[in-house]
Amino acid sequence: MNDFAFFLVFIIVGLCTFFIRLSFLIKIPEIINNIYFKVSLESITRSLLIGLVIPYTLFVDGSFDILRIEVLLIVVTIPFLWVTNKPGISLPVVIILFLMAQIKF
Amino acid sequence: MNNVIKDQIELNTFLNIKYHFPSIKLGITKMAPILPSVMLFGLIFGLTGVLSGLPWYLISAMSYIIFAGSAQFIVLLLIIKGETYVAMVIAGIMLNLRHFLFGAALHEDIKSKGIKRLILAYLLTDEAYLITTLVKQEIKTNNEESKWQIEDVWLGGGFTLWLFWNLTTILGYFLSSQFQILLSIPADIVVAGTFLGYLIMYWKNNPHEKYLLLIMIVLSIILGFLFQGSSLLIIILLSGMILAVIIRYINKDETITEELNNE
Repeated sequence: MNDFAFFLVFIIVGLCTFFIRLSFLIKIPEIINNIYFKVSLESITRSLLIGLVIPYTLFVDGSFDILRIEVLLIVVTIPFLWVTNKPGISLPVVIILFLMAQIKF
Repeated sequence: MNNVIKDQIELNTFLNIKYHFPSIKLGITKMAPILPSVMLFGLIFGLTGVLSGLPWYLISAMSYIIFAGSAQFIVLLLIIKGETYVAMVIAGIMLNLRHFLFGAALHEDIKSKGIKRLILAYLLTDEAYLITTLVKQEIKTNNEESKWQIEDVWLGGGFTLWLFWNLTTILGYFLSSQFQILLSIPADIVVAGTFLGYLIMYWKNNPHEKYLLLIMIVLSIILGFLFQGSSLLIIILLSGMILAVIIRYINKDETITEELNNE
């Protein structure tokens, strides 16, 4: 395996990713340009947020595991975020709590 | 050089690309809270890059050519494991298939043509999509559609993300010995921690969707037993789409008619 071959792999993946992103930005086929399709597209934000939070909190390598310190930290952070209304402090709070939990007294 | 394109929005021009600076600034501001997570992953990616044995310019090239965090990680892990080039290409592309949906969802918000549209496509990541749609929703709620250019919010947020991702990738590579501690933070908690706040805000701002959110949460747990990784995310997105259509179909008298009338 050499550098040029790797570079070529990156170019192919990069170009394909770019065209995937670009395709529907240019034109949406008429068949999917209806109200139900629009309704389904509106759901993506909601599903994406759930898909990025729930499985990453409750599953480890595909196994359901809620008896972890990480799950507890996420649960503890929820009321804090609920009260403060600041989504931006979500990660810093979780990481600070995580690092504090690592300290061995 | 300034010129007025819309009634209320004054657009600037740079290299024949028209843009609305306040909207770009809004995109940057909205992306800022996500940046700690982006930087953390960028550093971890650079650090992992050292383990692959690839030179820094190739690790950096991945970040500006592919520009898709999860796909880059999987390609890098396959390189470390010594897998074939074909496996790397297929895995990288499969992980990014969800971007079809993002493009379709934002199709109506793109007014520009030419180079700007290409740039926006290049910058269309998970984070840029989320920020853009959340801002779009906020603007709609506040009835401020005429004040902002959604595509420039996307441009500002997307470019900020690109800049920090690329810089931290290189930084992580060269300062790998200093950032070893980052490997002790589980990637799962970084992802969940980053978006937890946005999920809570979404829940609070959309009380009419809370039952739908609850159903989706339960569904995502069930699906978590059957799938994992990017395929799980894609399945959750598709399930959410199907569920949304079913629920709107059931309530079509109240919702779909209203939307058709709005159009």
